[in-house]
Amino acid sequence: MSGSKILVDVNNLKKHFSKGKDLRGRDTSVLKAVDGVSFQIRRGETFGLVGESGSGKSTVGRCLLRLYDYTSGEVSFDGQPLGRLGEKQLKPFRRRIQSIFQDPYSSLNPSLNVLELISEPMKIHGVHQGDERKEAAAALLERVGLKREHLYRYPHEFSGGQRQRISIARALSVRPEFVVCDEPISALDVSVQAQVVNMLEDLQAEFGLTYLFIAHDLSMVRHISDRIGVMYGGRLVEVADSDELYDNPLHPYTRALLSSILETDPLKATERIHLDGFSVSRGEGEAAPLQEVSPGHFVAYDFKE
Amino acid sequence: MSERLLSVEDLQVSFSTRDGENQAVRGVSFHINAGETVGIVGESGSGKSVTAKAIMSLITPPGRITSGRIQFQGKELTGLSEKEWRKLRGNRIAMVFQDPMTSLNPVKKIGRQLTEVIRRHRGLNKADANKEAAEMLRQVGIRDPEQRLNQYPHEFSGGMRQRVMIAMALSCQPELLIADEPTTALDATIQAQILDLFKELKGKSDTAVALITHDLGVVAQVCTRVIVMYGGLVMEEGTVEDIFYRPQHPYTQGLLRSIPKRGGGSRERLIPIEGTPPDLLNPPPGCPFMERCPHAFERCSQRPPVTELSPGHRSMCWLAAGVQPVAPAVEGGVTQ
Repeated sequence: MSGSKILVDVNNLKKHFSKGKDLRGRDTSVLKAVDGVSFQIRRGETFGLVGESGSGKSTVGRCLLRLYDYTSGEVSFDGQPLGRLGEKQLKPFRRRIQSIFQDPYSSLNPSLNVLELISEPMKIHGVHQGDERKEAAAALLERVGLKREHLYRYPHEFSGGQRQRISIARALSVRPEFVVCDEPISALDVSVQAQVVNMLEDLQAEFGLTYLFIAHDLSMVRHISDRIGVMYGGRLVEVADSDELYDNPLHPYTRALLSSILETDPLKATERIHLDGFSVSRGEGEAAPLQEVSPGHFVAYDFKE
Repeated sequence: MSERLLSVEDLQVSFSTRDGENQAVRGVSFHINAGETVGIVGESGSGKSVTAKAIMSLITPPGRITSGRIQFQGKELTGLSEKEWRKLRGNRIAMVFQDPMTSLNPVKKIGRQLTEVIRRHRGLNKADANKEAAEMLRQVGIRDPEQRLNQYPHEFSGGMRQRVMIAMALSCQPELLIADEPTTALDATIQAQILDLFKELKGKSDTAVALITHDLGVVAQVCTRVIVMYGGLVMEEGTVEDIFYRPQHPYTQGLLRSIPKRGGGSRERLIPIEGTPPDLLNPPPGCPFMERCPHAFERCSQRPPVTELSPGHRSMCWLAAGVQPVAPAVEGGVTQ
């Protein structure tokens, strides 16, 4: 492990999807899902990524996991560029970078029991052997608030919140350094969300984890993130410390997004900012570079005020 | 305007499953007055959507209404024939669903879908119905409505489609609009616009709205009264001020505590409700929240009565009824 402060370095990342092929050759247009995104994630922090559906936030997450081969740009992990690595060279990084997804119903194989689910990553990466592995799985299960006797049960026997705990135990079984959390709580009941968020925070402190937290629930993102990046139309339009972003948003899209947070106080009606006032168009020209306007607060001046 | 529009009394709905009867709604009573906007909040499995479907008579086997009365303007709705229902549904009671992608017919133009409804229920001719349809679209904030009428649903964005659904539901000037999670599938900025639309309608029309949601923010912004459901029962009911400033029920209190405060700085630790919602195949005989309640005591294993704390503010909790634990609170009610 090198001593650098930056764990993940995303540099001008682009991921374009061809729309032509599945439309029987009718149209050969390109969807620029991610179009020139750069940011860094520091060791031990939680970097939040917010934006609406179609903004490209999940695509960024998938590129970081190398679930997608990107069109251009580079993602470096702990100083090592991952883009050109083959599957074999990637394997150690696949251990160090883990993921938790939104839907705890479809992300766990229904035909495996909990022990098999948690052990599978350990088996692949050769972490622990035999009884030791089972012991580690049981310890992790208890760590995420479930019981040892749950080891031989199957996913359908658990509630959504419990399944998400199993997903977390599975991700942590190979002692990763970096976890991509893609909407990890949005499918959970309101009363259960806080449980899972608290647990993610505790585990981060205990194992020194770094998180990329992708979400659309703006109040939860502020709560969990140290820094936040706002995506719009495949581009990053603003990055800042989370309190700074919420107190002093600069980009018109960030302002509109923040004004749409619903105040849970019936006497405070939020003044809504509508989106007509500026123009950011997807995929036209190069992405406007982020400019640092105050220490740590970056904004893309791609709008007219 | 406190004329009683809808009253639901001791409604019970259950679904037969392979594993037994799923008692989704287990004795729910509430009312909606003419013109008011009532929020029905609850998480998945609380019975909020099943209650809405029961009101619309949309419960189909294996589900059935096992008991209870639903009265609309004094008229009993349970047991009406499908023919009688067709006169009511869409006309006097309308519904908007969560997913605007699947509730419009993809191969018919928006205009045709709208005018069909208007012509059937209001007996207008084609030209008048067209004019009326355009006017409805304008009212829900769609620009160039005449042009939009000639487009297909796929040419509309998600938020626009939900506007069309609302326009369609309102086109017959119903007395009651039931909106089941109308903004859940939408992005934050679009959600805010649709909620603004609901607020605007509140001032403009006499339609009462039952807004079903899991999001307390939605309720705080739009509703005047709130019904909080959990485990197939109404836990607490009151004005928005009652519910947000003076919640009595421990479930309501826990729910409000578990969401991050907007003003509070980041990184303040959240206070979750521990445990998981009850299994409705074997619902607890007493308070459904007992297992997770920090105040639970022995009496909670019996179903609490509904206590009126102040006019219109009711809670189903032994503490509200003035019953105090005789022994120390039950240990293990809170699981860590």
